[in-house]
Order: sequence, then C-alpha cells, then structure tokens
Amino acid sequence: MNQIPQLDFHPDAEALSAFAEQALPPAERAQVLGHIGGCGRCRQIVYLAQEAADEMEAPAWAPAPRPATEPNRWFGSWRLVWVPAAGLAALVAVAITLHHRPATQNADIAKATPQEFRAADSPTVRPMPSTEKSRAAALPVETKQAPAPARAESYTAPAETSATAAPPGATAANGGNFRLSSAQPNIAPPLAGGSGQAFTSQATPPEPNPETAVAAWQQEQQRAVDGLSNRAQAAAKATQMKMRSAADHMVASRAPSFGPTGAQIEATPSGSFHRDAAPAMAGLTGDWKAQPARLPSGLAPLSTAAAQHHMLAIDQAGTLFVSEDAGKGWVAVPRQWTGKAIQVRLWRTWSSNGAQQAQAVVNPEHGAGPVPPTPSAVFEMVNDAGLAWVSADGKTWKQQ
Amino acid sequence: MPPQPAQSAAPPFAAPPSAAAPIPAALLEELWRECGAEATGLSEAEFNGILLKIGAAQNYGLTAGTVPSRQQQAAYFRSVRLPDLVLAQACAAGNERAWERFLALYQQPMVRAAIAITGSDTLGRELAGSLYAELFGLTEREGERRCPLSSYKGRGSLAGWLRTILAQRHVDHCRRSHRELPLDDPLSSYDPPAPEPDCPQSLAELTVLDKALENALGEQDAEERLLLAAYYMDGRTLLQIARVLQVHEATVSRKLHRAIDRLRKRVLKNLRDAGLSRRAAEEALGADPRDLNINLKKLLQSSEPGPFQEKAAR
Repeated sequence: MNQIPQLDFHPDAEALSAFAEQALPPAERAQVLGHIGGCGRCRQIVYLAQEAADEMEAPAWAPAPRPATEPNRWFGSWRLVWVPAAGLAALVAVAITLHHRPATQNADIAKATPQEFRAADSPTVRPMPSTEKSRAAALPVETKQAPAPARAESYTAPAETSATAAPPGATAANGGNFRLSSAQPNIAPPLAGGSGQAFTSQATPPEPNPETAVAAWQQEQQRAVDGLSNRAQAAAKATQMKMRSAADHMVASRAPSFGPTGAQIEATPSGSFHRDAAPAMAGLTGDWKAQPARLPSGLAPLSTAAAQHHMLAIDQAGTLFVSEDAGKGWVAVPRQWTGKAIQVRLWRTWSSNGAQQAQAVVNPEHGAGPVPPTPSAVFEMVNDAGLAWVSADGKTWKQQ
Repeated sequence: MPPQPAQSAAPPFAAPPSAAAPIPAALLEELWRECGAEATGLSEAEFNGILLKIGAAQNYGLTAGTVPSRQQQAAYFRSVRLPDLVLAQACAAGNERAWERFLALYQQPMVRAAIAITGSDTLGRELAGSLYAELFGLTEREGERRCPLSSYKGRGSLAGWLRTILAQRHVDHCRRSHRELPLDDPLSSYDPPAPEPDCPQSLAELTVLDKALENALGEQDAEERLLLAAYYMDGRTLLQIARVLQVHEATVSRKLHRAIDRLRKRVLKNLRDAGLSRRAAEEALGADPRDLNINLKKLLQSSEPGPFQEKAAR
C-alpha cells in the first residue's frame, strides 16, 4: 500500500458530479470513494456541491417545508375529523330519538290499556308484536294524555270487581287470555258477540244473540257500578272514553277518504287487527284470523274480510269469493264491478235499530245513554282504479 | 448582447475520422426527438456530427479498438445524459441558439448555486460570472480558446456538473488565499503537549502504538476512511455525510460506529502482534493522543495513486 499523499491529482468535476448523483459504475465509484476518503479538497467540493444542490432543489426524501401562512396545523388536521364526528353525532341523536319514541309509545299504549293487560306478572299477557306497536304509535295525542287519577284508580280497582264487571262474553271471548278491567263496561257489549270467540277458536263461531248479551251486560254493569265508588266509576268511565277514543282514532286514521265518516263507521281490513283494540273491535270483525290458504280458484287470497261467519275473499286474479260458513265453503261472486278487485274490507256502523248512532256510543258525553249498540256490517270492495262498491251480504254489490 | 462564443478553426460538428460506424437514421431521428435538438438550433447534420464526436471520444463506452454495433451505439447514447450533452457540445461549438437556451436554463441556477457555495451574494455572483466567462471561451490556452463545456461527458447532469465546477473554483480559490493569510498569531492554534504523566509510558510502547494505529488505518476500506475523515476531521454532520452518500442518516451512524469498533480491534490486534499482552494493549489504547507521534490527517489523506489526472488549480 502506497501511503504517499496523492493530492495533486483529483477526479475531474464530471466524476465528482456523477459520484454525487450516484451515476458512476461501481468500479469507478469505488475509486472516487477511495480518493475523496483521503482527499480533503475533493470532499469539500462534493460537500459544497451537495449543499448547493440542496439549496436549489429540495431532495425527494426531505420533508416538504411548511408554508409560513399555514394556519394552526394541529387544528387543521382535526378539521377532517369533524365530518365523521358530525355523522356520528347525528347517528347517536337518531338512535336516542328512536329509543325514546317506542318507550313513549309503549307508555301511551299502557295508559290506554286496561290494567290487566299491563300486569307483568300475569301469565296470560302476551307481548305486543312489533307490527302492533307500530300501529299503536298512530294513536292520537289525546289518547296519550290519559288523566293520572283515572290510572291510579284503575290500579286500585279490586280484581274481583274487574272480573265481575266484564260481561260473560268478554271472558269467554278471550278464552281466559285476558280480563277486562272495570274501566270497560261500555265496551263489553260488542264483545258479547260471537266474534270474540274467534280469538281462540275459529272453528265454531256461536251465533250472535244481541239481546241476551246486552241484558247480561246491563246486569254486570249495574253490579260493577254498585261495587265501585263514585270516584272509581268516574275513573273507569274516563279510561273507557280514552280507550274508545283510541280505537276510534285508530280506525279513523286508517279509514279511506272515500268511505263513510270515521267517527260513525269503522273500517277493519281483514288480517290487520290491533291486538290492543281487539277486545273493543272483536264484535266488528268476526273471523279476522280465518284467512283461507287457497281459494277455489287455486290462488292465494289477496284480500279478505269477515263479519262473524260471513267471509269475503279476493284471489290474486281479482275473483271475489264469499263464504257463509266461516270459510268452509266458498262461492264465486258474479262480476258486478269494473276493473280488477284488489281489496275487500268490512265497514261497521254502530246502530241500535238501523239508525246510525255510532256517534252516541263513541262519545257518551254527548248525551247518549247506555243504549247498547248493535253493529251492522257493510262490505266494501275496491278495484284497481280506486273505485269502491259496497254490499251488505257480499253477493250483491252497488257502486258507491 | 453576449460576446461571440468560442469558435474552433475546424468545422464544429465534423465527424471525427475515427468514427467507423455511422449512426442509423432511425436511431438518429429518435435521439433527435428525445434531445429536443431543434430547440438548440442544430441541424440534423450538426446533431449527427455531435453524436459521432461524443461516441468517438469514449468509443461508445467500449474498450479501445472495439467496433461498436448499432445496439451498443444506442445503449451508449441512452446511458448518458444526451440532451445535456448535446447542449453542452453545441455551446462549446459556438451555437448561438444553444447559448440562449443554456442561459435560459442555467444562468440563474448557476448564480444561486454560487451564492450557496460561497455563502455570500457578492462572492457568489462574482464566482458565477467568472465561470460563465470561462465557459463562454474567453480564456485561451496555447493560443486556442478553450471551453470547459467540451469536457462534459454527460455522465451526470449538466446542472450538477456546473455546481461541481463552481465548488472546485471556490475551494481552489480558498486554498490559494488560505496560503496567503498572514500569520498574525502563530501560537493561536498551538496545541501544547500533554503534561508528563505519573507513570509515563515508555517511548517503545508509544512507538508500537503509533505503528499499530498507522497499520490499522491503512487497512481500512475507502468508505470507512471517508466516514472517519468526514466526521472527525472535517466535522461534518451525519446528515451531511448521508446526503453525499445518498443513504439514511442512521445508516451513516451505524457504519461509523462499526468503523470505529473495527479500527479498535485492528489496533489491539496489531499491538498484540507486536508482542504486547492483552492487558498492556488495552492500557496502551488509553494513552494520551498528544503523546503519539502520528499525523492522523496525513494518514487519512493518504490515498492510492488513482487514475485521476486532474491537477488541482494552484
């Protein structure tokens, strides 16, 4: 190894420049590297040229200089967080709203529900299906504002009074699944019909006997009234009014615009019945569960309506069938309408002797006495053009 | 209006007689488009002459006497910075449009680089101006105008080459002027010898240590020597060294520590080879460096006689 300094001979600018730019082949790079390792002049040239290059052009691996006019970078980086944060906050707000709304609705429903329905320890109480909850959400505001004293009284009402206050038809109609409280004396008469038994048994609907049911109901009501204090009676009446109002509003909200007034006539499309309103509406829709799987045409029913043992059904082809034996035998109804029948439903008018007195029954405050109402059924059929036909027996139809 | 650039007596782009293989027309056309030779005001014949001259100067990167094939010609032209090279050759030949392009591309970068190198706006502009005059061919050597651009071979970028030329001029100028500095206080940089130790090491031991250290430094490879010299002698930072070697700063640090460990082991080995015990060798390493009669700068600056023939400006 020659250790004599060779300071007089140096790589030219081309080699040093190419060395700094990594453009030399390995062999020549090693030669230049060996030289500048021992040559302070060439090292200095390389350093200065590199510094000049750094001044003129920022290297690719160096971080970009921060602009002097840039605002608070920390805050700027958090600016992007606001978008998902706002979205998350909106999601939480919606979730809270949805969480509180069913609770409020449940509370409102509970207010309008007899005590025995709300008893958690009752083995006969079934939870409300979600579809029924959604329907219960349609209850009007006045229904939700049940007076507290009435609720308190209904809580204190003796169980035996509740049991005796309901007419026999009521308990039988529910098959023991629920009992009517003392707040339902005026609702009981409709339950006396055979339709109430359809809750538990669709096979043998009893023939309605309005006179017997009404007489029994009057007796039971008198006993219940005698057994209750005046205050409890007022509370029971108030609760009854609320329940009636709830059922009325529920029906009114579902009543079509072309039908009779919702206050006097209640529409109960078959197969869409509110369980809470079932006791009150049991007398209106008979076999609301009895939907035939197949009609004589071989098609599935598109829409059905039933009034006690009288049933109507429209198949998917638009053919109307009528059954007078609770769905055991079906007869096709001759076509008396235009278009394609798509829906059939039951309209009920509350009347005592043919005259419409539904208003008096629904709103007892208007001076109507305890006249037991008798429901009368009217079927309505709607075609695909929105036109409606009505029929009392399901066989003869008249355009409305 | 810049002065007329240097013009050589011979036709500027005449093909050298040694150019055995002409450049294919297709390759010439392709290189013409890639270089943007039209912007430099070169005709196709002039461009062809420049390419032949460039290729003949280095025989297309082949050993002397080898006749290049067309593929080797194409590979050579693609291995160099042909646009910069053509521009430099056109400027060296005195092409005015090439000079206009050169000034448009490199005048301001040259000034900025010179200012960065000198650390002074005045000195930087002066340095850039002097180099520009030199490039323009105002200097004569042996009765002939010489343009440094003709020595550019296109291995690195023309901008990098210009920066290196500026740095060369500046370093040579400083080295010249450093020798002219008056010695106002010759003792200002005097490093007094260490005081006599309580148990002074014998002169023989120090001599052995000198020899062991000298041999250990001589056994180091080029990169380790560069790292030690740059870090300990030049006082460069790890970042500066890393930028020159184009590696990460941590890599330089790791290599530096490895070089020091290796140097220590070599010194110990040399000391034990010289007859010292292990304990004595380790104690010898604790000697005061000022007692050593070695010149580390001289040892580190020693280099093998390389192929470099450029003589530093005096």
